[in-house]
Amino acid sequence: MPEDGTVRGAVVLCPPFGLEVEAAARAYQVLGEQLASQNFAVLHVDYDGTGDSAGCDEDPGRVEAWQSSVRAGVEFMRSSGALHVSVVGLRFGATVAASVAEECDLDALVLWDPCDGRSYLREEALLWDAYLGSDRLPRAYRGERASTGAPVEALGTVYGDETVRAMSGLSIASSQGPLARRVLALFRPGRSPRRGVLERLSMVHVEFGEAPEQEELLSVWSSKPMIPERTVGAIVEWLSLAAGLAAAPMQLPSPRVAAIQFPEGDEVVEEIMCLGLDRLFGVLTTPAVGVATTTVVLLNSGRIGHAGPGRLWVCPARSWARAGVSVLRVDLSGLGDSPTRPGQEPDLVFGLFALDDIAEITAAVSSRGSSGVVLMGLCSGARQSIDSALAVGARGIIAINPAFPEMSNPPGRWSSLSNRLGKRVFDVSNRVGGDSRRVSVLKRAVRRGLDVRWWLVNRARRERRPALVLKNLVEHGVDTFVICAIDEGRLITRGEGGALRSMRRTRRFWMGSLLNVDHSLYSKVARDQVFPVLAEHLASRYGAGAKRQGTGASPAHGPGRAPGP
Amino acid sequence: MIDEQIRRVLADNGRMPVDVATLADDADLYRAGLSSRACVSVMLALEEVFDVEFPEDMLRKATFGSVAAVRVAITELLSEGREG
Repeated sequence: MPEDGTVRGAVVLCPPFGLEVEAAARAYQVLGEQLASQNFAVLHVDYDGTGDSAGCDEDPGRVEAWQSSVRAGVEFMRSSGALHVSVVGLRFGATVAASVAEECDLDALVLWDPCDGRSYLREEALLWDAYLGSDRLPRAYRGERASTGAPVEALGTVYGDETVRAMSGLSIASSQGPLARRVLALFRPGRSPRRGVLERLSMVHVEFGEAPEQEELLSVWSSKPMIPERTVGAIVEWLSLAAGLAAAPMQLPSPRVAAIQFPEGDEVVEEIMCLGLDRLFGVLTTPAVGVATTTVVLLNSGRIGHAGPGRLWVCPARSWARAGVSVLRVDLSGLGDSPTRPGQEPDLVFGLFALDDIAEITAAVSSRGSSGVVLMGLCSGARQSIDSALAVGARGIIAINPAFPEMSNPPGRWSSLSNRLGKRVFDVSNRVGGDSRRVSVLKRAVRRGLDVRWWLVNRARRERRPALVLKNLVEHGVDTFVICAIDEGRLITRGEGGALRSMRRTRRFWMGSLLNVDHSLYSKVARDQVFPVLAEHLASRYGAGAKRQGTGASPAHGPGRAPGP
Repeated sequence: MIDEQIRRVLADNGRMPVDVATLADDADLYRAGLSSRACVSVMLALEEVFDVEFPEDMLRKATFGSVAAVRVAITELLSEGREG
């Protein structure tokens, strides 16, 4: 909202889907800020079952629900007093917006690099396979995927049969009517619009332009988000011209609490939080009945917020709350929806203020009556949980594929020496030969037990070894639960038999390495393995006394539509 | 001719840190720096240049794994198009 509360109009931002929403999140935030500076009220919509909104991607009627979300956004702005309402849609978000534009009576519509549903699904299917490699999946899973052709799995989400059919029929070409009083269509240079799109848009009130930075925005893996400044500037300028200069006061209601209802009828409660002095953004999910004594604080994975694959924890958080644990999904400063601290660089993982942020968050949680905080995260979020647990007095940590970037390259000289020694050990054990049970046991003992190579490498390292970092937590009474993909688990366990045994004896340490789990839990097969393990741990360790239902993974337990705002 | 077009598409859309012209036909494009996201851009550009559409069973990492693999796929799609 503009600071003075007077607006020239309202703009509803419809994001793209899947990994694209993650790539475009910062660009959309900049677009929203620039529009607000031009006296527009801006609403960023998370469609039903996406981002922090209610619903799950496996619920029925997805496309209708997404269309309803756009309608609801437009109606919300109009009922709040906006005289002019416009919509900006990016990629498949543009197509969803166009499909309901006619009935929304829009003043202006921006179609930013629109993409029809079928094309989008094809791109997502290839991206999934190229990123994860279907050859890495269990054979049964590959067979299912190959034989049915549907549902389509994208990175971090699954589009079911019904959704695929509905998405495939959705395109700009199939939209109805004039769409809006003014329309701006921006296409990617060098990529022709699908057949029928240009014919459909051949109307006098439709203007055409280029979105020249789309490849950099959406087609590059980058540690820093890309802001397509020319395209954002063009959209702001076009909408400003379309709206005119007349401004009127507008007051937005600010709903902060919603009840999320499960298909079985029971509920959990979600509340938007502004935490600490820096007003860090968070969503607290609590059981609707009873009081949870433990709060799980979920930290960002990398620099991503809660949209696209970053939604990873939204449905599990609701299921865990249902089982009696409060769950707070937060954005650290400079990430996601949280503000950037003065002097801080935005979108920086392992930022300077991470520990301060986590301390503020845990203090805020404790002030609400929670007697124990469990820090939890994936990748960098896992590492930050580990690094800050003692400083903030956490009761436990749950680390999934924790990032230990300093451990990726063992020192060359020692690595080489250890490889030579390891090879020698293997050669000797092979030379013993024979198939007797005693020889097999001996070989296994040599190969697994000694692990001379890594024992040596670990002791040659200057960095603190992951196993010792974890051991320090355990020795200070912190419940430590670690789940890793096989390869990543080895980084912690190889050559560390002694430390692991000593930690396990305390009964405060659990560690599991799972097959077919990718680092970011982008694949469903990974999530289907990890979520039940986490649910089991949370219920047995922190949810005592509360009824236990759901794993966070099963659609049967997925939260339904929020009856609240 | 097909090879030349494939290499041009890879050079324009593959965002690889190596000169595509120097890659052998069977060189692994992913090892040469083709990312999963760039792979999608390559697929779309190939469809545009050759006026074909990769069927679902070809939307796989292996289809775009080397110049030779892409050539096999494109040749198959072009021949299907002629027969159809």
